[in-house]
Amino acid sequence: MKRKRNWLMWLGGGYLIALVVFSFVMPLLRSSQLHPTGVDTFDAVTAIVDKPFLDRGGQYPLGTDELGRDVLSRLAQGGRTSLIIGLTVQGIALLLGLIVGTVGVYAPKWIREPVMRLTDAMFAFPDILLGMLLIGAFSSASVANPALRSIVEQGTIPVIAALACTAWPSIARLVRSQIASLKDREYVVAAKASGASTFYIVTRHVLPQIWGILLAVSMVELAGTILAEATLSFLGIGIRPPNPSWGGMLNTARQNMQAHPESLIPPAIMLSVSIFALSFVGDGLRAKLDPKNR
Amino acid sequence: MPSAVPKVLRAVGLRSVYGLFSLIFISLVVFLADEVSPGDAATVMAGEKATLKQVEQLREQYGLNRAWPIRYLEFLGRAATLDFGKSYFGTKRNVREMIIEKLPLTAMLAFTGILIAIIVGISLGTIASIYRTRPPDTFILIVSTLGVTVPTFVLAPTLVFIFATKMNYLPPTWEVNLRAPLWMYLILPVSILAARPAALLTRVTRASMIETMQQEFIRTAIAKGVPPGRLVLRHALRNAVLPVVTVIGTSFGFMLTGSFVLETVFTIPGIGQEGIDAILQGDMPRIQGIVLMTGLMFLLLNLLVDILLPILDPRIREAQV
Repeated sequence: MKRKRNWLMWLGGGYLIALVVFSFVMPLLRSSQLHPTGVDTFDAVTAIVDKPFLDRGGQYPLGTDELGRDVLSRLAQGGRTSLIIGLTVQGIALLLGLIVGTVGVYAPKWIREPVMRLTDAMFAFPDILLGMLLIGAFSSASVANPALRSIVEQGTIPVIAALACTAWPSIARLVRSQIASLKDREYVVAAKASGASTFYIVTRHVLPQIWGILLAVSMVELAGTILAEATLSFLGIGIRPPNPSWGGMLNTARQNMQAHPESLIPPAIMLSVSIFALSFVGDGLRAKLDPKNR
Repeated sequence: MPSAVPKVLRAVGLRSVYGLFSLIFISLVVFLADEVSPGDAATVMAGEKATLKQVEQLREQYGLNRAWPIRYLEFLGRAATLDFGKSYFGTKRNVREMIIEKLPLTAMLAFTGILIAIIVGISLGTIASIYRTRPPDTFILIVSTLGVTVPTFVLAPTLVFIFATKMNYLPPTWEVNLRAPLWMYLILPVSILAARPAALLTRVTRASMIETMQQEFIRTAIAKGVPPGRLVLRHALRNAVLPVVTVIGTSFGFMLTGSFVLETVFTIPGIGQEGIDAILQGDMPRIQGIVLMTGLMFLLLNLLVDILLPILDPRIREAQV
């Protein structure tokens, strides 16, 4: 059982490295040409209308989409967007979660209790609604404020804001429970007795103990964040067209399903396999690093 | 046990207070989301070409020039009577009327979905646990693993392609004048929506049943000569149901997201479609109304699960304060 899990973890890890190379390095290595219209043939955003739905082969290994754009380039840029959004969101969530979780243990009771109650309230509320609310606020602000319009029409920043807001409560709850379980360990008590400040205890004695589990949980949560980004983009309120994203590509492929059902396959495979891989790695790491399993 | 009743009531009361608390907190977030974004309702309503004076007039008219805590309390008071004002754009429709029209369809979709998921999941899980490690169990495990891992918006287009586009059995999208009975339009979205929770419930039921069947009271029941059907349904399943109900509770969030995705795929005119439309327009009253009303429905459902749990399982009744 344990061997099998390790094997899956390495497979998932290998895939993730391949994904990073595919999204960030591969586009740089392909030699592109200029189309007569002046657009780069591998441009992932601008439409070249005279060559829609080209078959696989030649300079387009995965063919072109409904607007004549290279599917491979769009997949790569979609992967880039997903990874950047996912990592940024998890970074913000980790930072906020660490702060709130530590406050939830060490702050005086009149601060601690309301903060944790609010965290629970945010945790219990459905993510999709909170996300819609934040993206809606951006959208509403851009109606009166033209400077915001390009940000909203591109979509990355509202999505990061929405997903970060829904991602931190679970990290905060985890940090709190982990710190609370370490708080009464002998070495922490000893440090306290010898006059160490709370800040010193947390950064030197407590955090090094929970890094592993936090990393593992972040990996699993990253899968959820990438799925959430794809869901929002699929619904049309995440990364907005013409910018490529796996969710958005699935949505346009769905609309062209009658004539070109095969265009569903590339984004569906990329998205599903990436989510599998992240959860394999996360679960494997968690099994390895969880202090309970040592 | 008569003394258990007040205990349950107290726990439920406590839960309701927490639920109310989180709803009020969320309403503050909902209000502030509008507040911190530059440009208020007046600038949105006045449009791009409006002069400062026109905007100022609108602010005066709608009372937008007062301090935000006062306006929040007013917002809360109106929200308590389910009054979210009027849409900024288009026909400037009353938001409450819109929600009353659209929410039932989404709720029906989600409810039917979870109901089917519960029936299918518990049945399959029980069957798998009876045939543990034999072919039916292996088959059910493979199907349920697929069901848990394939995202809804990958599954949905695939099934639409097979059943609606290729085989032409079912209508692929909603129509304004339904040409076929309602269930023909709902069967595909509801089954897709139910797939993931059903798969999750199958796995949880299976694991919980296997654990329960190994316990001593089951051995006693077998020795006593309880017939196999009664043994599984009354003795084992009733004791195995606790983790299952917990998973049902955590599935509600997914049902909501899933309904929104399926409304998009099948163009079902529900609250999700309305919400997406409102977001694309930047129509804050509609967004606020949808988030708060749908959130309220969601919190009430969770409360229901909290009430149901101790009724189903006396062990929790004992553990609760």
